[in-house]
Amino acid sequence: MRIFTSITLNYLPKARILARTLKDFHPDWEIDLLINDQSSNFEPENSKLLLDEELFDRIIWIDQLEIPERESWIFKHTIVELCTAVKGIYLQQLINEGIKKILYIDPDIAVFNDLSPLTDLLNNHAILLTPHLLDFTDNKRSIQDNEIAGTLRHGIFNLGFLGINAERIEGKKFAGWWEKRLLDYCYADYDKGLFTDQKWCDLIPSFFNDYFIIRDPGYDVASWNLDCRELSLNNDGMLLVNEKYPLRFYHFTGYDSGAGANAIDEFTKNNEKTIINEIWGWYHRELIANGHNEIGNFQSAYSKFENGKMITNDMRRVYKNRPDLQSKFDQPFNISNRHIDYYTWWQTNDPLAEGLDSKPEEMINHHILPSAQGEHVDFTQRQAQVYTYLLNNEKDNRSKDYKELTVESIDVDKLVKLIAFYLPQYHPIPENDEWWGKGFTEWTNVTRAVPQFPGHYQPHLPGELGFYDLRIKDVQHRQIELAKQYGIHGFSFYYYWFAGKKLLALPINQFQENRDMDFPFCLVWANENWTRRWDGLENEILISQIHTPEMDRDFIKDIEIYLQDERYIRINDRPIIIVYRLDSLPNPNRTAHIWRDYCISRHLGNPYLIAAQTFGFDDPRSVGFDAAVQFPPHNQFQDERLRITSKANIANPEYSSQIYSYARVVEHIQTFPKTPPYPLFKTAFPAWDNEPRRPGRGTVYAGSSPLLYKQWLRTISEWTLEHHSEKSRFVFINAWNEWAEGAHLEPDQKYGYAYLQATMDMLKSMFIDKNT
Amino acid sequence: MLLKNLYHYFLIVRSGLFDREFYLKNNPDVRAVDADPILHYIKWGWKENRDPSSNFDTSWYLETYEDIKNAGINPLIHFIKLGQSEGRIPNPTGKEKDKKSNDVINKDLSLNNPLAQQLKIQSESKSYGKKSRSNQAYIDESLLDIDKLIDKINKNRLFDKYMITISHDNYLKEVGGVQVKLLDRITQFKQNQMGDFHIYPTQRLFSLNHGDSPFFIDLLMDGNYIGTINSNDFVDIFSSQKIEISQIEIHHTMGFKMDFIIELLQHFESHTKLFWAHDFFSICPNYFLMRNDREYCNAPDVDSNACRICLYGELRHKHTNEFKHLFDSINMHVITPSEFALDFWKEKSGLKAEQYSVVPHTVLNWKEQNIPIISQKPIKIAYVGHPIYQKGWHTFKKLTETQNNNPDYRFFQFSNIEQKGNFEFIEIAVTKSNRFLMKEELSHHQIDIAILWSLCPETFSFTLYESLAAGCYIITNPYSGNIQNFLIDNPQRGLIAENEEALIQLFSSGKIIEAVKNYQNNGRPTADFVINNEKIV
Repeated sequence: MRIFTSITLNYLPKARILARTLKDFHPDWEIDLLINDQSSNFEPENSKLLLDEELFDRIIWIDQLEIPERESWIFKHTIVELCTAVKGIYLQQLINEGIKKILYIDPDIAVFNDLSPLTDLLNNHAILLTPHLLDFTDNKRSIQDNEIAGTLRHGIFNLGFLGINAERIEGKKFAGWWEKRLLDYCYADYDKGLFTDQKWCDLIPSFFNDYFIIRDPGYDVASWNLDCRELSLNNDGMLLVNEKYPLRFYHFTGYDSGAGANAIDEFTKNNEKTIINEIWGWYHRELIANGHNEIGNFQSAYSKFENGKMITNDMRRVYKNRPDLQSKFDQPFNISNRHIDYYTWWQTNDPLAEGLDSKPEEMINHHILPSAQGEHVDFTQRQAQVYTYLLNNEKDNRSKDYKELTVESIDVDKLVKLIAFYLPQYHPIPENDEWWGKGFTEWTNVTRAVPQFPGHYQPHLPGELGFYDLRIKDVQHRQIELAKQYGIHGFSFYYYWFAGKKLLALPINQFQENRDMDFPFCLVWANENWTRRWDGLENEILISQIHTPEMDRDFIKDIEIYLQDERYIRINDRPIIIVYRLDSLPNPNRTAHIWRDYCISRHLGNPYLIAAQTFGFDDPRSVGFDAAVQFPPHNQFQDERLRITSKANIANPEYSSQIYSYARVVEHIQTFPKTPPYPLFKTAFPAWDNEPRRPGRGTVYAGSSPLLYKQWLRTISEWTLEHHSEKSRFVFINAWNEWAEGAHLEPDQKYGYAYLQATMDMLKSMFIDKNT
Repeated sequence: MLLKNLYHYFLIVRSGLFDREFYLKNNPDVRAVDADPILHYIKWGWKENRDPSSNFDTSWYLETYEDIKNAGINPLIHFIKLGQSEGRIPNPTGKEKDKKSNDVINKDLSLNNPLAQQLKIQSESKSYGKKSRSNQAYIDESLLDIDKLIDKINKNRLFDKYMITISHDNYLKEVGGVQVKLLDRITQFKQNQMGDFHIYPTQRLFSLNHGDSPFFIDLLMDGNYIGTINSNDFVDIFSSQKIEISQIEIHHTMGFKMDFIIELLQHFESHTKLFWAHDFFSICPNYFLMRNDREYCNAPDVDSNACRICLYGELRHKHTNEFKHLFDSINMHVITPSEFALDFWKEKSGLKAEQYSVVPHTVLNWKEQNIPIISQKPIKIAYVGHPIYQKGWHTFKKLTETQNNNPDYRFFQFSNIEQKGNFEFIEIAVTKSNRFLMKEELSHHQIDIAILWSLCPETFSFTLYESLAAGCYIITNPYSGNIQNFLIDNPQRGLIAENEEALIQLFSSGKIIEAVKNYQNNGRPTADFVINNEKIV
């Protein structure tokens, strides 16, 4: 029997354990070690010496393998991809040498008992496979981790083990096919349905006849199948799986990442005596004894350029996707003084910004610059290109989605009640005069924004309402008129109350005093400090919150006048109060208690307390609140997977923030409708971009459109219909008029009334769909 | 809404480089204000040189990478985003110290065992590919004066005949079963006009000494310390001084080089050689026979999976080879303190001796009159002996926790070391001059039940005899060796509970109350506890 395994040098300690434990049972089996690294990387003297004394029968370096355009081929692969891709080549090479029975075994496997049944199996079959899973449980975590993530995503069979008999026709045929596929497609590219060498083997049952699936649970035990494989020891000290099958080999997957230990921890949480801990403890000690501390952190020579700089996955991907680069730089690891090398090319170009990635976003699609492929372009040149582009393409400020004011108004029952957050910072106050300069309002920031990349919608300029001033009552009248016409149910006013001191209260007071402003409303207490940076986090505090029991009482007394108002929004006669930052309240339970006591004693109704999902969030009921309201873009809306920063042609060299895809947000929301155990109100934003507040550092949700917004709103409205009773079917919109965060339903010059129209259309179509 | 901070927050969360518990533990002020530790670090912590985890040294990073310091940016964020890939290191050691530990062995248990600690230290001092650094204690040989030592021997010489006793420590200073037995033996010999040389390793080890450095022993003569000597010189003393050695007794070999013992025994070839198996050290260096200090292992073949995954398995290979060498080279007379121990030893050690004997350490003289004594409620239950895991301490503790507030029971701990819990502590410091203290105290407190829950086989168990003498009803489990064996032969004196659950069930259901009443109704036998000085040779 010939065994081979494939490693980079940092895996040598693991391979040593594999070899030793295998030889304990099969001293006559030969083990080949395939090292995907450069021998020059192996410096520490003692380790080098030992390499000659290893238990391996042969040591093969990757440069001894026949690989066309080797350097270029290696460069296209990450280390994991590389170590798996060579398996096909070496298997074929062994077959060419006339070796008949061959096993591939992963280096992080250790053998615990005799493997001779494999010899018999190989006598009768061409291909031996071990599936990740042989059995299922209905445990949610197990479905998620083992069935979905482990198997459906990564492949049915675990390619930590493979047995081939090349004397049988199908064995040879498989090896040829597999080698070819791995040469061209051995990548972890989930979007394309690829996962290294492993996912390919899902095709074996279709393409080949002479395969055998090993269903003995003693083979390839690993954290992904422990759920269904119970380990025990018999009286003679033999490890058994499910009480009868000797443990043949265990796969210590995830040792270095810590994922393995995590899985074991999780698995042994309720059963501290399980033997799996002891097995991992042994492996850990063995690794240390085999030099893991000394060489386990080695970085592969192929993880770096010749000059020692790390190669990023982006560098590999771009290279992989561009034949022009492959032919230009056929020795991509090399650093040259005389010619331009790939490393220098990468540094001087900005290939990520060229939108050449495999899946360009819609927003970027329209804006690809004339490519400067392979040419040396310096940054000022690029900037000039971007600005020329902007000048030529962004002259007409009106979007194709622009909508005029309609004569219609909402004329159907609103199945959900839409509440829009309402910002009052559109009138000067002495405090803002002092902190930011005379006459400061939100418009001061809104108008200063400039685009940071092609396709970046800035500045947002108002439509019908103009740069309004809320001291003018007519503005508020018109806002309410528009909101009503398009189907908004009410406003949620930001309320700025700092230990008794009120700021920006004019609009709410004006609203409250004028009974003819006939529109439901509620308050959201913006209980964070005011700072230099508009973020409530930085040190330089302009005005701060004080949270004490006295202040809790003062606050509730202060807003009593609103809570009494018949226009105030209630759920089952309970006035709703939203708190923007629950994490700022030192004791939310206490605050809730004080407010409830007060309101009940004043016959205002037990308030319905809603926590905004902003910072440090948990089940609101655990702190005495009734419900939560989503607050995008906080929390899950900043998931890494929604990000497209690398795809934009950013013009500003100082730009330092993140660009997210609005389309991906909507897709994400539709794909993963979250239903927590506590009452939740969902929120959508029409667009979001705080460039005006943080020039060059703003977070952008690019590619927003009225259509996508409508989809988002529809998705969460449907959810609300299903999960809320009639009295509490509220859906929130962030926001009515957050102009400096690019989040406004109010008409602007680019889209006109399109977002309002989308809102009304959504309500109408939802009504029609439910009633036909 | 500082999105950059939020972004940093998520970066840090995802990096796994932030240890919330560590941060709160080291920054009580943060805990006091109930702040989110990550947010605190982002806002203030890094500027105040606080560390996000034991793996990342904030101040060191800033001092080392001046460019980061000058840039005034959060060093952890820099490390996550760029530093890592630039090959910068997070702390002076360059290693992530406490990354989710792969050493998932239950440390709490094996830390109890000094042998585990010794192995840990030895493996830490060993670097792969380098020769193991000797952990031999440093002894300045030039200070050892053999002539002076011989002088001292001659001055102290009282007898014509001597025996040599071998054990792991100074039996006069240390307290334990082996030491007590040695004292008894030596006293007995003195009465027969025979003196004693006692030797033990100068350096304390919890295994055999497998090293190749010079080996030193300490020498006692009739209880007096004579000196430290290189083991190579030891035999010469007797030839040069014409001291007659009539007998050699091995009571323990821990810490010895086996080669030395073999040479010694071969030198006195025609003498009687007793090998006392006080415990199962000749079967495995972890003489408790508990795999990874967790579970009784049944002493399987040293090549078994069980020994492979055991902390002591690798050492056991060398260890058992040394014992095989000893028994192959020397005709021994093996003595165990119980029939059970002898049978077990024969089966599991695989060693062959010339002769075998069973010599119990104590015998019980049962009193003739058994008076029915019915205890009042609550029934008194005691844990007897060292409160360690191997002896069932955890099980006892669990039992007391499950029976907390049960008015039927009152729990006691009779030990030398006090533990905290729902029980009363009775300090028992048995000394050589007060050998019967445990029995007396058990009687004095009118203990009804003794829980003797050894998780691994006892060769003898003094506490069994102490408890029996005090009239206690015994509860044990099927793995406790001689204790369980005694109850099989004398089922009326106690019962064997299948496992921990069954034990707790006995108490929860109240069945134990019935059992004890029956026992006491039939007369509660008590005994005198007598040291056994039976002659062996």
